[in-house]
Amino acid sequence: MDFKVKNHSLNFVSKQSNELSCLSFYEKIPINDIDLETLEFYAVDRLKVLWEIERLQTAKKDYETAQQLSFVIDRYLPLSNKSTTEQRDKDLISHFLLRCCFCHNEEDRIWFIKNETKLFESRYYSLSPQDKRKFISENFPHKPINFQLLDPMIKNSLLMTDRLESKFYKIPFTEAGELIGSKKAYLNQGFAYFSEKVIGKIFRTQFNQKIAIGLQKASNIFDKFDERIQKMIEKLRSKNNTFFQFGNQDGTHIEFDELKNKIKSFPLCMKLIYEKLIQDHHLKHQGRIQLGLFLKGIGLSVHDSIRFWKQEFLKKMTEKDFEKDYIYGIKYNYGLEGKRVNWSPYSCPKIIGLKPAPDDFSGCPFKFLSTHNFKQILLNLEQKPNEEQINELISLKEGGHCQVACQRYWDLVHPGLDEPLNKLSGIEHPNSYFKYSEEYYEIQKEKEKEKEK
Amino acid sequence: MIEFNQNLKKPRTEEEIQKENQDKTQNLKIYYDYFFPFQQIFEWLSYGNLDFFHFREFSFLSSNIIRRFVSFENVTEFQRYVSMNIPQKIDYGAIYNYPPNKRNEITEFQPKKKELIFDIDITDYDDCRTCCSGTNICNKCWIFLVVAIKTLEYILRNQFAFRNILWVFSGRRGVHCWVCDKTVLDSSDSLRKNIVNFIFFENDEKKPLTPNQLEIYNEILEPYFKKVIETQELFEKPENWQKVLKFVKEEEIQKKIEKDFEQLPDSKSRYEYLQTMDYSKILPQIIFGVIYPRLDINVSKTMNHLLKSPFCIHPSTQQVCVPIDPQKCEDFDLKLVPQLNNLVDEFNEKGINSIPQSKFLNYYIKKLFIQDFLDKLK
Repeated sequence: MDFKVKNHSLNFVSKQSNELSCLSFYEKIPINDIDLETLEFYAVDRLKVLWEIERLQTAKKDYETAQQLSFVIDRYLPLSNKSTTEQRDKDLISHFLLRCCFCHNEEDRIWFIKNETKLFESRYYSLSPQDKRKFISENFPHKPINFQLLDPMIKNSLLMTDRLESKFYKIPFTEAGELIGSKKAYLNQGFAYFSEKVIGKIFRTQFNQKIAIGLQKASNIFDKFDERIQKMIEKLRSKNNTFFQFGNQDGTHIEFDELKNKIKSFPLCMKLIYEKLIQDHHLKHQGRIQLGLFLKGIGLSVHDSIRFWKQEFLKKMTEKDFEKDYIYGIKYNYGLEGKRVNWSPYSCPKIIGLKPAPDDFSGCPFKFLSTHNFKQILLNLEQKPNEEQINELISLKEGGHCQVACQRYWDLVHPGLDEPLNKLSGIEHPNSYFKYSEEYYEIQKEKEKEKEK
Repeated sequence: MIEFNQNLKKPRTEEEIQKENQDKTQNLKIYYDYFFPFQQIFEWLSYGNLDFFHFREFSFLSSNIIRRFVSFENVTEFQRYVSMNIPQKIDYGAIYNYPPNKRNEITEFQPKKKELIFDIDITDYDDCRTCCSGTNICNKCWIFLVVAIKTLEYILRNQFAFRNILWVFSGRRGVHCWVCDKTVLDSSDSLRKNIVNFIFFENDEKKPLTPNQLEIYNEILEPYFKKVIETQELFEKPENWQKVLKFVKEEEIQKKIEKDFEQLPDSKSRYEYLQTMDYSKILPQIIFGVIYPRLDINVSKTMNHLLKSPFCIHPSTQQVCVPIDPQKCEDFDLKLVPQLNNLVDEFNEKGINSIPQSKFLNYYIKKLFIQDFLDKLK
């Protein structure tokens, strides 16, 4: 068997691979006959897993997260050393296919690497001790050091981290990555010394780097794919975008004067920031970005965006100061200054992860509002909820299910639908909340028209 | 960050302000034309490879406007630009994959190499300082920065084995550190983050000290703590020792120490009391809390951050950002830092011939910058 294939050329994964550890750094692209439908099905299943990982990062308890995660992985991407060739192929093929979907811009790449690394880590830590040993022997080329020959100071330091009987390793610190960052290694003259029990951190770092390189390569070979595959990748990308980005790519456009009538379609988070702005004629940095990118996402031009902010800010400051301090930030959001990236509006996971300063209404209200204030907001709604609805929303909020709570809130303020418009199990993006709301008001308008007839 | 304190004093007429600004600009021009060591800065920033210089981001502050992503093909261009624009501040960024001034020509403009930089500011020690606060700094506060320099030197040289390190006075109230080893220049943002996380101290009582932290404690922090107590008179009176004892996590023990402190006659006996205390964790808790370097970590974590050039003139204090000898940083005297006025006077008195032997700058350029730093890079 040849385990040491280090180049990245295509390697045929033969049946022998079942003797290899199931976990891999995805360095060999499998070459099998496979029909397009299965291919797409594989990729979608992996997307589901990655999205679940993203979602769970914002959940509350680590323990529950780990359990739920392994449940989802087992359902869509089961993998162990006893896995069938088909299961192994599914894991490999879906990974490589998604690389091609996520290689096109920096934001996608970071997202993919982050969640793939979590997936890898979760799998690594659920390996049996035996499988773990196998994986280490295949992937960690260093031999343990002879403890007795070490300098006494290094010896003593190592014995603070693990027992004498353990195996200890020594590698250049540049290769030790997170072992350094998490202070799990002892550092001396440029070398990291560590015990075998923390080796997982090295794999995590390696995995991270290898996927990053892989994504760079994927973007180079994209054009060489079969046309049908290119089409499928495009399809997957747009599927992911509906989960994820909701930039203004769909070309909708909103005039400045229309904006007033659209506030009713704002999700709660944006509504609160907006109200704060109207009240104070000022917003802190985080709120400005969150609301500003959202407005960009619903189709407000940079010109109108500047008008929008000016209208409020000028009640409290001179035009000159406004231009000095705020124009740059607005243009930055639109990719016209600084890094010149066309920033996407924040998604729900991102917003939930924000840490708003006190009295700053950025972030997710289903997370940061006190139960009392939250209840007050519900009671002041035009569409008065009943007690049962209030209790449900509060218990969802308190359970940390921000996105589901947001969905229920949507249902509440958009009553009278024959069938639910949005079949997702939770709001994924404030801009999708807005879009569904707009659709709702369109339908209501048509209903009105019909009544008049 | 630049702050202009000039308005705080007595109000002046428009004319006076204009006159003063004109003088400042004129003096700066003399400084850039005759004193600023362009050639040596060029040799440093190019590391023997002209492309490194050409692809480097320069940033300039002049008349309140910051211009980022400026770049130069060679040192003559750099010098000409500075002489014409007379910037109040010069900053250096990363080395990119393309000349920064032409970055719009390509789609993926990315930083490729960068020194590892650290920025330590005395204002971050305000809760422990007894002599000054805010932007003020005196030789008594300097002791905090001495400990920071010694500690980082130890970590960078003994633990990471870095060799090419430049320390620079930031011109008012802090110090900058440039680590220029090849391994560091090439390291990714993720490795940078890991290095910084390794150095950063989290004040978390649940985590025992790591072997590396223990080493720093024994070698640097504990020996220096006595000096800090003395200089800052931290154990002299209750309002001072409260600044220190707040780092004791358990409230009851903290109260007990406070009570016992009042019974003890002097600073020395209070320190000895802490040393002999049965709770071995107490002293390290305090010492790490008070004097472990307080870093602005975001500056160090990613490549795209800018840092002010050595030998700049600080816009508010008019002091030269001179290199610091880490071995002798205890003797660094803030009152003796050369000022723009000194240099201009020297120039007016002795003429151009005096420049290469400027009595104010010679030591900093020849000894600290060239001999101790630049020559070792080669």
